[in-house]
Amino acid sequence: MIKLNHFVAAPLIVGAVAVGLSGPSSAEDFYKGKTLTVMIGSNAGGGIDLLARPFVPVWSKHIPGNPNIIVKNIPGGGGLKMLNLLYGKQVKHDGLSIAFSPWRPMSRILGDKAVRHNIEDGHLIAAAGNIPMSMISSSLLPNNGLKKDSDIFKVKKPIVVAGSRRDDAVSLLNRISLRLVGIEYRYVFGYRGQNNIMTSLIQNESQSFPTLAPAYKQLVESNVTNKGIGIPLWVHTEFDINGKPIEEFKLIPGIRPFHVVYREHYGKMPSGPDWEAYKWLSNLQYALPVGVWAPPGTPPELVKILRESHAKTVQDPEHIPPVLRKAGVDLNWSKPEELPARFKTFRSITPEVLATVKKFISEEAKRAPKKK
Amino acid sequence: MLDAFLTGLGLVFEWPTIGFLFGGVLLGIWLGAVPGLGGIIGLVILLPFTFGMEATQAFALLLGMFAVTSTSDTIASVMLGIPGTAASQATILDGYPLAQKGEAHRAFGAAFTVSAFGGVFGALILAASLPLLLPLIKSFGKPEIFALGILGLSMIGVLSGKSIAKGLVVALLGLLIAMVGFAESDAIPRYDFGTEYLLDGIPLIPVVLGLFAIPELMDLALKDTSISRVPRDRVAGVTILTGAKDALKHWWLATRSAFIGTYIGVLPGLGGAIVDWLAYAHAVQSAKDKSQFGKGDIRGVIAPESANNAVKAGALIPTVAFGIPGSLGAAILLGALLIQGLRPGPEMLTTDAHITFSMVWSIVVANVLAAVLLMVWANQLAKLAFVRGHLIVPAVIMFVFMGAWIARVSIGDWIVCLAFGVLGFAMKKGGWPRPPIILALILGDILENALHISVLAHGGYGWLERPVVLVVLALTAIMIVLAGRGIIKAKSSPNRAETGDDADGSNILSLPLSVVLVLLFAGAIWIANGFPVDIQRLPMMIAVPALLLSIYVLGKDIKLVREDAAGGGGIGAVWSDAVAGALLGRAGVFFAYLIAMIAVSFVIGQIAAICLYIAIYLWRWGGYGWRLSIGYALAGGVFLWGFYGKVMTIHWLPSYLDDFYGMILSLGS
Repeated sequence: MIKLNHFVAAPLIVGAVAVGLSGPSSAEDFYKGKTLTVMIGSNAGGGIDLLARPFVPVWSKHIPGNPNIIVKNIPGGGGLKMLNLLYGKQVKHDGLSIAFSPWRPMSRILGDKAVRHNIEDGHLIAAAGNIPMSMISSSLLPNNGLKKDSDIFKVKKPIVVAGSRRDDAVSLLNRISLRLVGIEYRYVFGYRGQNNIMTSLIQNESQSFPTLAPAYKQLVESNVTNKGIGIPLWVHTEFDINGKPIEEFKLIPGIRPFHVVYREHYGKMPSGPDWEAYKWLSNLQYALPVGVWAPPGTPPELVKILRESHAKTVQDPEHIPPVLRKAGVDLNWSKPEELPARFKTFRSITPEVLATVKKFISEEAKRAPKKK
Repeated sequence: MLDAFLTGLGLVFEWPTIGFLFGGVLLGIWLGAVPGLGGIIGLVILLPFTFGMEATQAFALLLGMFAVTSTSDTIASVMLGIPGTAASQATILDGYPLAQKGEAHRAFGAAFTVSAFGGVFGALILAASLPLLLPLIKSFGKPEIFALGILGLSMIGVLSGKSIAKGLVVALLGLLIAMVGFAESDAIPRYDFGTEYLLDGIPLIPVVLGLFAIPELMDLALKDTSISRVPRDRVAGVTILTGAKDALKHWWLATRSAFIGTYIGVLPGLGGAIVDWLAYAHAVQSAKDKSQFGKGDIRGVIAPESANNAVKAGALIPTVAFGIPGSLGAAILLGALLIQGLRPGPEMLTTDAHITFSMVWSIVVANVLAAVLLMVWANQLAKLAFVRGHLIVPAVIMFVFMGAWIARVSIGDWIVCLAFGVLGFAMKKGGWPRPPIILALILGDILENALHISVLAHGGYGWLERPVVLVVLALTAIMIVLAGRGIIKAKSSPNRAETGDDADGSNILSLPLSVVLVLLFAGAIWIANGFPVDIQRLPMMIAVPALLLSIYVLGKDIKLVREDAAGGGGIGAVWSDAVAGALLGRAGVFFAYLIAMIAVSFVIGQIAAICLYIAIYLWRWGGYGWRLSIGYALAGGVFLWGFYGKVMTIHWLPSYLDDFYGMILSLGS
């Protein structure tokens, strides 16, 4: 029989009693007095940051225990740098660190080496959809004459399209829509952030760029549209399970969907592999361009709390930044029960669509001028 | 418009706006003074606090802080030879030698005066020249930014000190470092050696801190000296006012530099990255007597300090008026604008013009306020130059390594900082200039991005014939010719300019670095050979001339060492003298302390490891008693926990001790 020295036994007994008395703490109390870190994959003041910062104080009100929520910006790689960090060992996976970020789904599908984690190992807390749009320069017709969407069919010369990356889904939508209406273009990527992309059009370095409804309302409308430098060419619609456009969706007033402009001009709907790829990419934008993620290992009961409180927050109009509230624009946030379906969009790409996207990107690369 | 101009002024002086401005200024002074922090971090910290404020109050706080970090960053540049922020890199070239001569007061007096002037000049001249700005911004696309980047690179001639060949080799090394990570055109990694850390490239801040801070701190530690190499009584006549008088004497240089800063700041994509170097180079090239540059010429402080404050105002106006931010800081301010419910654009010059002008006035008032406060405190600050170095080293090491840690929150940041510390020490002892490496590293990324976009957007190289590109390239050619003439003139002069920090280098200690660089460039070519053709072009364009130049430098080093050996009793004797002079043995121990600190962090965590380093350094190296050593270490620990842990909420390196605590806590729950 093992005999314990009094000096060893006493603390052990006290410890055991303390453990016994404390009992299991309830998940509902978990966040009380704690700090929840929301990591954002863009710079402070960047697109997603502007949506997240007004969101988190409202979210805190709906999480049991009302934790202090702090926002932490880890910019780089369109959210990848932050997600690589969050999913890695550096950050504790204890329900106190989560991401609110874009996540580059196309880079994952195309096997980009910059993706160094498996997003599906973590937990999707919420998904936000967005309205993708295309901008076009008025200078493409004489005397800044491109004033309405149908004027695009009068453009006969090749144009320059600006974007951030080859595999950026919003940019792919823009480029595919231009190809579907027969516009010859050269894709120039490498611009860092929406501001730089917009500036390239102001400087006439490019003549078209993709944007999203919040950025349009906050920045692009006043500096491009209202100044007569360019116009919103079209918005890209969501499609139902049968591939039909959901036209009832609350789009931006005065800006027509791409397929409507196309149908008006050609008298029929677009078709072919590019159109199929377009529909998938557009649905991806409406389903999950921005996600709120908890890393792998986050306790399931905390994931549940975060999902439920997030759903309550989106019912509270205070979470929308003032400019967007005024313009009636918001992210299309998911309900918790919609999450599996939204996430499924990401993996629902058919081999044909994948092959079309790959071929599209590689054909563009071949057309690009070589550096000598 | 005049109405809005005056209303804006009135708004700034309303309560509590002026209180927020004052608070912002105090915070900005602190953030600028600590190496590795700076205005961007300040903006990120303050942004959440501005949600519930009125727009003018929010911008008084943000701009009060942001505008003055490039005034107070002079403190670290002058006192320690460490750039307080990226904007004050050029200030160290003459600011630190002034402190070593015991004239830190003078450097502060001049720097704070022209900083205030530059900030006020930049804000007011921009407000007055609003109609000209949009055409100016429109005419600077990526091709023009590329040309400006090349103009920036031509400053290397000025920064190369005694040997233009060494300066060029070092600059090419900086460009090659900028090539590490994913290529601009395709997601293909370069020089990553299979490590995740290098996939994202090598971050600037750990490189700058390692290259400049560690060698200077080693000087203090190894030589057991104070920052000033002369006693206080020898410089009793030098005061803050001496510096302020210097600033007035060189008012025309300060004006020209502020002008450079203002209009370079307007250009998106370049921002403040090179403006201090451009102003410094302008000061050198426009001076009749260049002999004192690099040795403590006050004009070398006046030019960059005037320009780097003006640049912030330069970046603000296009951000507000056109939604085009000229720098990262301006991009964050743009975000703050949107959070306030304001829309950058024409409204900011019409219906919301009073808010725009309140921002301009916030910058003006903040710059004047910071200069006055710092002038008052400067006498006390300058006294630090006469304090024993051992008391300064541990605190600055703490700031340096924490500044590096913020870059990526990865142990790779500490390793990069230490590795560049070793390189910086070797360069200093071997007479290699360090500034070109930083200039090239900053410009490498900008140049690659601008070149890539220019070629794609314009379908080749036709953009080289654009008028503004031609003008900027012509300016570059003039700069190169002037620099070349200056070097030839200096070589024939007994009082030759020794711009840079290579004045006390030894030929025999330069030799090992020459060999390493030859091998490194050869290796870079060999590795680049395995990249796809499109990806290898730029690294090859850098590494091939770098190899040839470094072979030339190696040959020259061998020749010089032979001459030294012939006149100094053989190679063995020359080597022994050089090693003893450079205190290489003790330098090795200093690095061993830092390596141990990094290794111990894995076990007991970073806060405890830094505290341990501080205590052991003071006790073993500094010879202080245990009370002071432990007290100093504990104060450091509290600061690390409070500021970096709680205010900045950084993620620390997970340690074995954390796991142990976690185990105990899980038992309890």
